[in-house]
Amino acid sequence: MAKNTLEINMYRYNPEKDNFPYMMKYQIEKPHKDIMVLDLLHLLKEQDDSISYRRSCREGVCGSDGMNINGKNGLACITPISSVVKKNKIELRPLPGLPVIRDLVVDMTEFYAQYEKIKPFLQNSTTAPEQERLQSPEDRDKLDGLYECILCACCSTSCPSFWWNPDKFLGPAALLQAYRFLADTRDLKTNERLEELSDPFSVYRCHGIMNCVSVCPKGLNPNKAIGEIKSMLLKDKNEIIASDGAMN
Amino acid sequence: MGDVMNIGKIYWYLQRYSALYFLVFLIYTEYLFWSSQLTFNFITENILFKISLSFFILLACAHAFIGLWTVGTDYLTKRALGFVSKPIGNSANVIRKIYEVGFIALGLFIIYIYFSIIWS
Repeated sequence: MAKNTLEINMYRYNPEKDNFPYMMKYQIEKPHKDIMVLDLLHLLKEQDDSISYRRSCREGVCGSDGMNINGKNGLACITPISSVVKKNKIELRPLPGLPVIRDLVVDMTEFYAQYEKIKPFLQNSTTAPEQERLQSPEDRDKLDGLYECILCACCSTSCPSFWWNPDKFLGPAALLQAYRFLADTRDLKTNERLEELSDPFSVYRCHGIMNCVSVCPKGLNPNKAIGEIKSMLLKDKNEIIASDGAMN
Repeated sequence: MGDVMNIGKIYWYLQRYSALYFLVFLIYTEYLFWSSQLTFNFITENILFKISLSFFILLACAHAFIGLWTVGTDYLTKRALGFVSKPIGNSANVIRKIYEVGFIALGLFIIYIYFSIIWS
């Protein structure tokens, strides 16, 4: 292979044509400047317009183009090829653990179902103030590192516990958001939320291997949030009631 | 508010506290061994050792039960066994139940044997 050629090994599967998925090799001229993996996919698409992948904002905000790049999940739009290419080769696969719809496009239904379970909205039945429910700057700071999640699923699909039990274990993304609402002083359903998480699967299936932290394209730490949830679950219920009352 | 105490919490505590007990028991037996007190007569006659060894066996079985149950519910599921073959995947629940009954029976057998030795 010439030095100025880039070899892309890509997962292909079209359920209308293929019985099984397969890997397909493409070769393109190495770009003169460092480009993102998503730009590389655009170049490939010019060669072969049957290639399918999701993308939207192309700046790491929408979370559409999560994929497995040389064995590690990431967002194609903010991953420079210089950081992943090894020996002029790059391998692209769909996010692991979710059913493949076509090529790099996966079915996110199970992922969103788990997100839905944690009730990702503020629950507060007290009379709403005229403008907004205020927080102290300190209470607002507790949400930093939690609310930034873009639900790209890179973390959950790098987690073996989620691979084996995607219907029972909530996965790092949903748990990060669960803690975002548990930590929010404006939410009044702390105990109800904890009860929903108290079975042996939802949270306790996290064994802290930290794949989620390693792959998060936003630099978030779901493992820390899961640890906080476990601490809350393991507290005496009277302590939870007391802290719940103090928070609200 | 319902009860926050639950099976997930019980399993979590049981695994951590049993692991701590194993550590303490290991240090205790190491001490007995290096001070040449750990003889067959001591094991079968010292009441404190017999009780602590019985607890060790019970907790080891409980600890193993949680670990093996976790392994079973991870790998012996329709999803995981379906990767091997579809018919095997469809039988996953039966396979897992047989596996669970198997290790529970093994655990009870181990408890019976050890307790027979210690307390007979």
